[in-house]
Amino acid sequence: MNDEKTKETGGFFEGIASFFRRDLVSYIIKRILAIFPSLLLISFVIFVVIQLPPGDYVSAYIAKLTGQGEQMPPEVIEQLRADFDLDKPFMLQYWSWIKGIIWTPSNTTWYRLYGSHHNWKYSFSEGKPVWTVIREYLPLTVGLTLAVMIFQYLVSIPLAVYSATHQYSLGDYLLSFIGFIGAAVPGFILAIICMILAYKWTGNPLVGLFSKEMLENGVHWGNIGEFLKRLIIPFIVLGLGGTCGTIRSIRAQMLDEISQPYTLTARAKGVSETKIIWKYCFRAAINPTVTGLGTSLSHLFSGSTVSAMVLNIMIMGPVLYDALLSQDMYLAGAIVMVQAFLVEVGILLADIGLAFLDPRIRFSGGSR
Amino acid sequence: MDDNMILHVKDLNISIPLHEGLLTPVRGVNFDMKKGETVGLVGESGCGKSLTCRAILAINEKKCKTSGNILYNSDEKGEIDLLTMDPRGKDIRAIRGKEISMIFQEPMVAFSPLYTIGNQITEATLLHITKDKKKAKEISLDVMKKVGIANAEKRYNQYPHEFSGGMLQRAMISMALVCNPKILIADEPTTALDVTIQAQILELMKEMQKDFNMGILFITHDLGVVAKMCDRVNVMYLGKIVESGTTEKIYEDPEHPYTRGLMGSVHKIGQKKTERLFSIEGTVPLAMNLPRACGFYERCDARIEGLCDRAEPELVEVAPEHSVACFACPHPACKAQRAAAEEMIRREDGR
Amino acid sequence: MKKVLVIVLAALLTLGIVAAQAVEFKEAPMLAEKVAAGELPPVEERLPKAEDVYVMTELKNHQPLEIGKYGGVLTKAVTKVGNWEICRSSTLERPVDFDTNGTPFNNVLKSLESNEDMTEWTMHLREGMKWSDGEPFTADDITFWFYMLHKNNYDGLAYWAPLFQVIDGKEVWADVEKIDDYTVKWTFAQPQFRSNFVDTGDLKWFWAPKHFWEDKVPSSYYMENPIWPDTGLSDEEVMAKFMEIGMELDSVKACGKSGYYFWNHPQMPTISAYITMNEKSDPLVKLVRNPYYWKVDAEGNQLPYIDEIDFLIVNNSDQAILMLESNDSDVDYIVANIKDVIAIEDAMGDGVERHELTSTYWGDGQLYFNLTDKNLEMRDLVNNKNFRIAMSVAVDREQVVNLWYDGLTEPANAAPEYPNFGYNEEWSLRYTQYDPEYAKKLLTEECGLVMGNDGWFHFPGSGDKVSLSVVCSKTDAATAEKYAVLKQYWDAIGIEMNLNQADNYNTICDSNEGWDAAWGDQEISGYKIESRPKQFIPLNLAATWYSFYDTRGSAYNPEFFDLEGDLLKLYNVYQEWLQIPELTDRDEKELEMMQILIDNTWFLAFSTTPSEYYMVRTGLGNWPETMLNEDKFNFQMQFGFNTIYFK
Repeated sequence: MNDEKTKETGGFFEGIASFFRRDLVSYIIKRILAIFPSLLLISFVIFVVIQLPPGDYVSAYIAKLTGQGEQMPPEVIEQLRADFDLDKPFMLQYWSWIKGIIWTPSNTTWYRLYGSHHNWKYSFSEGKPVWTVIREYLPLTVGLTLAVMIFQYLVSIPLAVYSATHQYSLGDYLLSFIGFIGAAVPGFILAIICMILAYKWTGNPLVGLFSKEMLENGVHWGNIGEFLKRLIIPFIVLGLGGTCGTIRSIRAQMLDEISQPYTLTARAKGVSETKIIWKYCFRAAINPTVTGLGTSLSHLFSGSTVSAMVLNIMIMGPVLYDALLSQDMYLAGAIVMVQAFLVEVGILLADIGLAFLDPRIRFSGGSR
Repeated sequence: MDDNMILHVKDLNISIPLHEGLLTPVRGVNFDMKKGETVGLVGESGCGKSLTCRAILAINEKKCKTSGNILYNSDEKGEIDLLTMDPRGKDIRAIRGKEISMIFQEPMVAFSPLYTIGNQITEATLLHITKDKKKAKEISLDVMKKVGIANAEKRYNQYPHEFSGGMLQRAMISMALVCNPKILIADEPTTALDVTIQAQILELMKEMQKDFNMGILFITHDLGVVAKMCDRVNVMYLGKIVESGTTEKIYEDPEHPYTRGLMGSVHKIGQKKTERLFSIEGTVPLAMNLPRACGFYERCDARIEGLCDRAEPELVEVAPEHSVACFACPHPACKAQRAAAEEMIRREDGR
Repeated sequence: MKKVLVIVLAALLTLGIVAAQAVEFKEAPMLAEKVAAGELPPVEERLPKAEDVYVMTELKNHQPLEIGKYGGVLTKAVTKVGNWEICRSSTLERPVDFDTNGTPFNNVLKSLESNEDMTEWTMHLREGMKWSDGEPFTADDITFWFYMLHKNNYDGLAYWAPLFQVIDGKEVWADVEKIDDYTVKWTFAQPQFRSNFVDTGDLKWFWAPKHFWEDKVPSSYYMENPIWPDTGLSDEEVMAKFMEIGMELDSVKACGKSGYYFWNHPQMPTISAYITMNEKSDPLVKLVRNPYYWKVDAEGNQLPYIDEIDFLIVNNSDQAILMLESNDSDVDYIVANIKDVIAIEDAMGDGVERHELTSTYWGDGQLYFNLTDKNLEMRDLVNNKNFRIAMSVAVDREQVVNLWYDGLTEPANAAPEYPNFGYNEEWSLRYTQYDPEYAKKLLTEECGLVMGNDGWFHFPGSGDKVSLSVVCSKTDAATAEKYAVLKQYWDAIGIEMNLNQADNYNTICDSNEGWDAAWGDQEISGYKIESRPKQFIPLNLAATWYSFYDTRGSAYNPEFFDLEGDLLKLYNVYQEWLQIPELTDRDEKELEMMQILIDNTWFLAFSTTPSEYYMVRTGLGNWPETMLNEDKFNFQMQFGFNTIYFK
């Protein structure tokens, strides 16, 4: 068995050396260069769309204050608008923003204060530079989403392969049933149910990823148990939909591949069932999953929004949501730009991954 | 088992339980193969040929239920019954690819598109012969060259979609032969190829047989190919062998109405262009809930009512190396069988 | 009557102060440790001079202050929107504070007096009072704030109206000068009543830590003044200074604005009971005891009692309730949802107490018409009192109350609610009888409208359907549902009142375009007129005239719209009211104004306002029994962080 495993990996990674051909490298370079013009276009679209709802940040801000009893005379409102440059014409605002991002020369305040040639401007609501805000939420977002993704694939791949190879068995039916429910139930409803159950069974609704003590002292060996407990619900909520979707997708692809003639050939050669499944069928079956990974890179950056809000986890998703609601233009714009960039890079990586996985794509440049 | 014999299939029955009922595509198949000889298995599509030969290697689907014996004369262990082995177990896997190999009908889909030809050929070598990757590659290249693949080193690193059909079939042959098997099962290997390539492949197979001294079980529905390749022929219909014998005997003197029909439907040299090709009336019936009758009854032009629809004929030897399963055959052995069957029917009716 | 109370109060306070001199001061254990370690000076040196220490003997509702125990951490879950409350009201210390009757008493100021004609006001500070970093709180802090932060508008928001007067249409600022370290004198051009000066709710503070700000005011904002010279700093230098202390702000303007609520930032010193330890955008905001807090209780214990206040940010109010029930937090504030209150009480039983904040609104669901509507027919109609009466009696308030609040409130019209000043049962119930026939009669006979074939009333002149666009700033579905209950009654009598939930309702109202009525905004609230006169004198609702109390003074420009009839009368009484120097003497005029408002039904309301509640875990002492939900009392924060304690 062990020998077969090494043979298996040897077979799996075969062809890498021959993969580094000149035209692949030039392909990658071309794709990377193409990202930037499209990002420019995207930046314009983002800017337009964020401003589409009537009013602007100031009107949302004023409405909030008025709701709390503050009074604001029109002159103050106009002054606020001028402070945020919101009274300038639209194209001028856009130009000033995008110009600052692309290149801020050394003789500006921004460069002298921050030492950076790229001015992403400030978040209106937080009053801090956009990147400071993003940096605050980035570690938790990436960490949590990455962990959930890894967990997702670790769980779904074996289950999917089991389900496909034991079609019509009890296990298969059970997994399919759970898969349907998991993929259909929205994450936030699951979150609420889990929290209610947690409260009923343990008296602690586990609101949020960090207890107060953890917020003060960080996560250390003393409270790692509590932290892991609090991770359960987010993992289930954030991961279930993706896990079930992946299981179903891989299972369907596997069923397809298992019935292909080449499995017969391999069997006739004396290859073991396990090796047939993993070396041949699985590699063909994860084609669509790898494609899906492309967009998950940007998902890594933002995390899911509604579920995170219900779970009271402050990751980038709710931050973007709040920014969009209050028309906090530069913050929302920056986050969406980063997401767009990551989507493009993710797709590029997925394309490369696919080409690496499936030789037919390498040479023909298309699907079979 | 006779030392000359390498394979003996005895009373092979394959049934598949379906929703609608029990499908019985193979109903008692008997044949054998001597060392180094080519045995043909001929029949229409759907008569059970592929299932039979796949059963030898136990690579049918799980839902096929087999019974009977498939006796293989191995060097190390003597006579072993392949049917008793666990289809997923180590024992049968040691046989597959090493003692008994198989090549398939469509080479285009028989290879996995994700790995190079070299990888897939060497896989067999690494499984059965040596663990040393370098040596295995050498062996594979050797066989590839033998099989007539030009530029073997370059071809070794190419993918199946870069090969032509004929070249792929050669590759498949080399993959089957790389471990020097005793038996090669060829399931319609040339059906998907065009005629010129076909001839080349058949030539190659004959050559390889001589070089490797192996037996070939050749499945086909093409009588021309049978004539060229096979020493002995088994004609199969509806899951049973209806006639069996040496190629000359079968071609010269086909006894069974089905065989005769097959012979008649082959285009002959000298036949007029405008003459329609003879074809047997009807189609192969579905092998479910078959009554006790001759399977060919509906389409037979020599059928005997009251007999052939009430009893099933078995293979009896009518001449050395020639057996037939038919009540209408004039040979004494068949006649004896017929009499016994009529007696049995009379007794049944009398009751 | 009120004067007597004031005298009694002053006497009590003086007694308290005298008593304090004979008492030794005590401090919290956590501070005592620091003193022992040499990190803090001893308590006598941290507090002001003994005679100037503020001795607290009772809460704002005159409930006696129990002597509390030191220690404990109070936790409260707040939704992100509630961030505001952390940063603003929780730790605000006013110059002069108010009891629940509205009577002022000295807080930060030790005392103040004026000259004969009230053009000069002298304020005495507490000698030895210090900022949270130990620097003295002196007259410099006031003059610096005035000239270097406020008058030059460096602190960014609106000007404090009590500090200037409008003379001949121009703003004339007061002047302030330092007499000595603990005395300042304000000089006004014309007599300034105390009731328009420190006794307004809107003069919340007029100081800032000079030692912090003196190197952070740029030249660009410098305004000539008799005391402070130009710092000579460039904008960038100031921004760099802020970055040094860890505040990254986008412009020098933002730098100045950050000082407006100077207790929000961990970097800035404060005189409040608690010091903010981290940014309010963090998920956990901690407020820690200020060792230099200048108040003590009757036994000389330095306040506050509780060591630390923690605010946990959650996403929505349901999570906050969950945290209270699972004992992760100690208090929760429920807004207008008595069902949640009952649910919490069921879940926690004896573990929780309920404390009510009574509303100061004049009824719930207030509807107000645009008296300056550009459509003249509409303007005539809404200015006709009978129309408003008709709209009022067309509504079945019993059913409204059932549908809105499950019958937990009472039917009412717009009038002061119990237990606020001016409460009068007859006023509350005026025009609340359900009589659609009478309504129709009023519309036909008194307003001259004509019922059309389509079932709607039409204007006699143009023949247009009477259709009003009712603007509302809240855009959620719940508001629309609430309004729909009312709309059916008006549909039934033939007047179309369409709700327009608009994000930009401010713009709409200010521009006087596209609205005929406003619902749920421009409401009369405030325990007395002086809290929010804007709505009491309903003159501000069109851009053409502006009568906005706390920043622009209360002038209207008669060029654009002539006041007539009762509106003019109301305005005149208001001007008289403004001329009365003492707050406590104004009650009579106030009732007069209220009577005019009630008689004219310019505002319609349909239900009493549901109270808001604090759900507090049992075991917290000094929780006030009565609380009025009002800006002057710091809204929800009036329970006083600096006086509650864990029993």
